[in-house]
Amino acid sequence: MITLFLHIYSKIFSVITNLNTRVYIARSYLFFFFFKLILVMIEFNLLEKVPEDCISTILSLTTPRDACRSSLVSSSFRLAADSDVVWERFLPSNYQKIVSTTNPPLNFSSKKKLFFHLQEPLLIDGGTKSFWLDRSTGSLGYMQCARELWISNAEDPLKWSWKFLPESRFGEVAELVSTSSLEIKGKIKANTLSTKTTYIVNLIVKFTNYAYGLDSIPSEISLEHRKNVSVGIAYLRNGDVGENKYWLERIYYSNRTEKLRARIIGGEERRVRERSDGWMEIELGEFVNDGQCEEEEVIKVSLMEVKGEHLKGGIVIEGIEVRPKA
Amino acid sequence: MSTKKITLLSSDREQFIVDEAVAIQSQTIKNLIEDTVPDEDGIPLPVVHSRILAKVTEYLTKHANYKPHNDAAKEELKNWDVKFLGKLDNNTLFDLILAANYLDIKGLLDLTCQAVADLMKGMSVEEVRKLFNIENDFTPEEEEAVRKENQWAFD
Repeated sequence: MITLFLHIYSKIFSVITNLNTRVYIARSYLFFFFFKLILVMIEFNLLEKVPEDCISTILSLTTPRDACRSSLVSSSFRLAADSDVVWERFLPSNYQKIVSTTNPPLNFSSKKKLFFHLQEPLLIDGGTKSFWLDRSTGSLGYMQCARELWISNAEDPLKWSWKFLPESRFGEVAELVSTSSLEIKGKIKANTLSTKTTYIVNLIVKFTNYAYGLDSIPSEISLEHRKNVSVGIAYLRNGDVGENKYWLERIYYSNRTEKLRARIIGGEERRVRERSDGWMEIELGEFVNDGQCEEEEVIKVSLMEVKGEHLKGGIVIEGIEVRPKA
Repeated sequence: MSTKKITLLSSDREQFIVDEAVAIQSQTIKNLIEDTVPDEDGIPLPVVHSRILAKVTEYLTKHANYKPHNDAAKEELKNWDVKFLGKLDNNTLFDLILAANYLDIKGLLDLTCQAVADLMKGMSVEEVRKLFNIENDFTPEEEEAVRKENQWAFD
């Protein structure tokens, strides 16, 4: 553009010189005029051209979804949107540590490919934990298997049976055979999670066909984060089936269930929800990982049913899941 | 306390006189001061228009005179940044990114890039093109391929 103007300028200039009239004035006027024009052109051109590394920086400050979508804007945007600068920012800060604990170690040609690979749960620490990346938030999700929890009488084979289930990502799950006091406690290390993220903690369970005594009285749930303790209750029962059973119970044993219910100190009632992976989840609570924690901050969760004093069984514990809240 | 003054010269030859401490927050200006013999009119910044240089010096002056030493002061500076951004139209915002990039002012570049990133969140492809004043240079086949590759982002 600028060379074109210079060209026109020299053309007009030569014409004026040829005419040989008031050359000096015309020349200086023209020079000034073209100088201004070139300046305007420079400014206009710059407006259109945001340098590619600036585009990468901007995209790295959006979300994975926005970055992916913007690769359709133009070819220069696509280059920026696929760059490692962007995806390095979306990967959790401790991804290298996580990736290095997998066996065999993961190797990826680009950070974007690694990001999408990590969406699939990755078993680490000898298969006792799994990590994955939530692609919408870019935050880490985390699950620990039942063996990583504290379960009362877990080693008593008459009470708990440890077994392999093909539908579990872990090598072992815990099936409750029979117990009078159900106590499950878990600890979550905050420093393994993404910062500035709100997390939901779920207990991942299943009910066997012979499940009994689990929902005569609600279980007590708690989550302890720093000085805050949130409590709730949940009836351990299987979705709709549970609902019908609940009404039958109301009719036949209303007196007894009411009495039992009175032993439980309030708290919001949580429903057992069905998941897409065939398991069920009970929300144990949520917390905000603001990143201002001390080195060894621990979040404690628990589910207890110790007040019914009757026998119960038929619940399978896969583990606890710590999931970024959408 | 005597402070050395620096004269900056915009692309349209307008002079901006600022303290040296204000000016050297820009790595580019710092290098120019150290490495070049000063022009008698000032340090020429041929790609920064006076309209933008005024904004840049406003930002630099605030940030040079304001060394946050506690949370309240940090919060105040943050609020000032938000107000500063709030007064800009989109064109000025982009010009500021270019100026911050050219002048190598990290704080201002981060601030303005974040502002554009916030604008972009949830925007459609067409809206982003309009915002950046960018033409779609894909062939229909290429466009289809890129869309397929990033399908989840459009669901």
